[in-house]
Order: sequence, then C-alpha cells, then structure tokens
Amino acid sequence: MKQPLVTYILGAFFGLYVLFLYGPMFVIFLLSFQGPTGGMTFPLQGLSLHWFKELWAQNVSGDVAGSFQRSIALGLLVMVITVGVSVAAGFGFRRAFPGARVLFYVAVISLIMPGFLISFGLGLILQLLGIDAQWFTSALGAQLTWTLPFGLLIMFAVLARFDRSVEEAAQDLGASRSQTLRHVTLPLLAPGIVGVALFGFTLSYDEIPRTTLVVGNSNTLPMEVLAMTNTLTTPSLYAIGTITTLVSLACILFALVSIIRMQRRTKLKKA
Amino acid sequence: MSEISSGKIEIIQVDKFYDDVHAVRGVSLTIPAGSYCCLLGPSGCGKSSLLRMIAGHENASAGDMHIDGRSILGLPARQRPTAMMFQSYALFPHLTCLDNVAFSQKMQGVDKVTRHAKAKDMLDMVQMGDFGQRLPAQLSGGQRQRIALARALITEPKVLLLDEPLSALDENLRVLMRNELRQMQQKLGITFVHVTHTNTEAIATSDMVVVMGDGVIDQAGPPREVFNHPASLYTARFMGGHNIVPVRDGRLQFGGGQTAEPPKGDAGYYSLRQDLTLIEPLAQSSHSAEPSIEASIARVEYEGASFKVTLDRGDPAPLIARVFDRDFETSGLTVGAPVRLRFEMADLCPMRS
Repeated sequence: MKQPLVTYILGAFFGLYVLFLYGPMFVIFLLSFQGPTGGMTFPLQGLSLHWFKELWAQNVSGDVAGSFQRSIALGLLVMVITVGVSVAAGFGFRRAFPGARVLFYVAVISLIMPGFLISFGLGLILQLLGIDAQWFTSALGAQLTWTLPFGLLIMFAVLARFDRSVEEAAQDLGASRSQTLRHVTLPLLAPGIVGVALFGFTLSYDEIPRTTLVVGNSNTLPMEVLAMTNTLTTPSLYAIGTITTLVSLACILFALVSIIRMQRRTKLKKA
Repeated sequence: MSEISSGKIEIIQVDKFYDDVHAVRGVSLTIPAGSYCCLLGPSGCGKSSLLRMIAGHENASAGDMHIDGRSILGLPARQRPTAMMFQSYALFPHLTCLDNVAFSQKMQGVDKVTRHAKAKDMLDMVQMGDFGQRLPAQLSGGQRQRIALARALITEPKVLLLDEPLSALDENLRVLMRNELRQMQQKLGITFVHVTHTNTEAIATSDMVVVMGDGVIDQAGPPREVFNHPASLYTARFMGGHNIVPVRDGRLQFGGGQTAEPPKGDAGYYSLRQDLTLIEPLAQSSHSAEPSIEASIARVEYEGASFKVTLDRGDPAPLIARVFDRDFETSGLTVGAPVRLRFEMADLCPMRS
C-alpha cells in the first residue's frame, strides 16, 4: 500500500519521540546489569546481578533500604488520605452550594504553584514555629498539596459520567442513604477510586520539589538517590533505578488490571 | 396478588418550581385505585416532574398528595407505597439480574435463600427465569425492561410509576411491551401511572389519559372520551387525527368563503375526526345535503392501510381525509381533483381555544 510521504515523516518523528521517552530508562535498565568489572558507562563487561547484590548487602553509601521503606510508607499514607479526602470532596461538590466554584478553584490552584516554592514556604513556617520537619508530617503535608487537587479533578471526571438514576432507584427500592452508598454508589465508582489511589501513590513515590526542604533528617527514596548521585559512582545507582521503576510499574499494572476487571463487570453495552 | 384494588392517588393543588421555572402549576388530579393512568404531553410539560413528586424523588413546592387517603408529603421515596421504573431502567450494572430483583429484600435484611427464591418467582412472572445470572449489560432493551419491572414489583407497591418506559425500545417492541404492561397492571390490580409523549401509547394502555401542557392539565378522562371529544385546540392537536374547523362571524369556516351553520353553542373551534371526514369526486357526487363543502386535493400520501388525502382550502389549515386503500384505487381521486366533503354534523365537537 502506497502511503503519502507525510505518513513516513510523521512516523519517523513518532519513532524518535518513543526513543527519547523510553531510551534513557532502557539504558539505565541495561547498565544496572553491568558485569562486576564494568563501570558506569558502556561498554557492558558481561551481564550480572552483581550491583543488585551490592545494594542488598548495603555496601553503598546511602540508606537505600531505609529510604525505600519510608517512601513506600509515605506513598501509602498519601494514597489513603488522598482517596478519603478526594472522594468525600467529590461527593460534597455534587450538591450545588454557595461558593462551590470559588472553593474548587482554590483547591486546584496549588497544582500550578511551583513545587519548590511550596516546600520553601512550608520550611520557613516550620522554622518560625520551631517545629522539626519530618517525612511523615511536613513532607506528607507538602505532598498532599499536590495529590489532593489531582484526586479531586479525577473524582470530578468520574462523577460527571456517573448516572445518578441508579442511586434514585436504590432509594426507591428502600435503601437508606448509607446502604445506597455502600451497595450501589461505591461499587460503581470503584474503578475511578482505584485511579485516584494510583495517582496518590505514584505522585508521592517520586516527588522531589515539594519534599526537598521539609523532609527532615530521614530522606525519602528520591531524595536519597538525588544525594547519592554525588557520591555513588558504581552501577548500583542504576540498580536502584531499575528496582524503583519496577515497583512503580507493578503498582500501575495492579491498578490497571483491577480497573479493567471491574469495568468488564459493570460496563453497560448499548442494546 | 391483591384482590381489592388499592393505590388511589389524590393530587391537590400541587406546584413545582425549579428556581424561577414554574414547572407544575396548581395541578389537582384524582387517579382511581387500580387504574392505568397515562400522563401525556410534550417534553417540558411537567408530566415527569409530577411523576417524580409522587415517587418522592422531588418535593412539591406547594400542595398536598395522598395515596389511599394518607398524605405522602415529606416522606422519603423509600417509605412511600410506590415503586418507580426509570426511563433508562437504572438497573444496577454490577449486579446480576437476580440480585437486581432481590435488591430491595437485601436492604430489608432478608436472608439470601429467601430473597433469591422470591426474586426467582418475580423473574418467572416476567418470563425472565432463565436470565437470573446474567448482568444487565448482557440483555436486550426489552429484557432489561422486564428486569426493571420485576425489580419494582417485588416491593409489592400500591402504585407503580413508569417514566417513559418504552422510549428506549424500537417500534415493534414498543407495541409488544405496552400490551404486556397493560396485562400486568390488570393482573396485579394496582395503580399504574405511565408518563409518555406518544399519544397512541397513551390511548392503547390506559383507563385514564391526562393531557398536560405548560405545567397544567389540559384534559383528563377515559381515552375514548379524550380522543373523540378533545376539549381544546391543544389536546386535539396533540392527540392527532383531527381536523380543526374554526368559527368566525358565527359560521364554520371551510375556506374559500365556504361556510356552514355551526351546531348549538358558542365554541370557537370544532374538531372533526379525519377518518370521519369523507370525500367524493365532485363529478360523481349526487350528494346535495347541507353543508355542501367543496375543495381540491393538494397532496396524497400512502400510509399502508389507507391514503392520507390533504385538501387545500386556502385560509384555515388544510383538512385531511383518509381513504381506505382499495376504495382509493377505484375512486378517481388524484392531486388537483375537485371533491365534495361529506360528514355528519353530529361528529363536530366543540372546543375551547
């Protein structure tokens, strides 16, 4: 089949784009399997799991295991709070109340605030008040300024597509408000809520700008890796990258699979 | 189920405002127990608002509503002796048909075996017994409607409210399902209130047709009365099938300066059923009785069983006559042909404007 020239040009452009998008990640992935005698750059001196073992044995300068645990814990914390607040706020916005629009804008405007400035400002306030920064207090708060508006936006999209007549039907059939929520509304919104959870976790898991000045003495993983890039000069650094990327991928895959399974059950085909 | 009819609805001076929009304006209506009532009107006439107020999904802004003599005003939907079938059926897409039907029992805390047995009986009643384990997504429109019907009826309501129940179906299925709804209502002996914008649907199913327009009831009565004696120009136009003859200067106006003496009364308009408006070619006409009205054929349209013949008469809107298709072939009626009208003066019905 003969295609116009522009198809090939755009195709080549798309190829370059994909290479640019995934190339760096692939290079890191490949180099993390560098042989024991290899260095941080190509060529590969054989393939091995040597640098993963180094990491496991804590033979590197940074606190990789500790910061990884903190990042997972913080990610889960952010996820739970984001889901709770976003879902509740989404329901709240369903009924028109005076000032709803203004409140919504105030809530989402922090998405366009430069993250570093939020961190800086929060750090200053903490210093003024004489409160020590901690990853599970101040860094948690700083990350929520990022994940909550995201979660709220997703809930808006999810609820906009939600047909409220099923809730009316449930109440018509004798369900109380809480029964309606439990047996009808939440099961039907579940795929969207999983989406909010996924965003909450992954946005927290690799967050740096908002966390940077308020994380306290114990770093999260991205902060630790950032610090280690100055001192760590072995492919173990790449091994960290490979592991953390796999964790992210696993989260996304898990969420996608559960969303697809839920949607397969609930999607109404056109008759 | 119930031998004694119940579900008498009294609507007393009910108003509904949506912000500044006065959607229902002082409507009063009594629907007898155990009757099939159709609320008929174009979209935005207030019929759906009225239905939703009976169901408890909207609150009346003013007025009162009684079912079997007890006020239902202020009761939440779940405490009213009503069940509603929603326009798009609003089946729970995440539950099987059996669990959809058993939903209300589950909410009451009925144990699984008992509620599933009862739901199965309901499914059998709507001939959907084999579909219990299907999800709504796997059903056709007509099947979904049956599930919705079973789900509503399992609550043993005194009143079943149907919001445009047939609008999601194609034409053939619509005729089939409206018949089933009517049979179901007669079997159960409860009150059905059915909202529709299709006149044929209303007169085919109901004991009582309520024609609504602009938030008020224009006419309410048995379907034959509403169809044969439309009380107003609005109802005559909405029911369709009528010619409208205006009265000016005390004479019936047939166009082209042809007039006739109206029946007694001071009505501004008269209706005449199109199928009772007969025509014959002027050349063959031996008819000389009053009134002798002549016209010419403007358009002929084949409708299957009959031909729709449109007569041009100048000033008032065209008259329409229907001619049985076998008669048409031998009648010599063609476009442009002059014809004489024949009708009985007794078939003219007075209407308010």
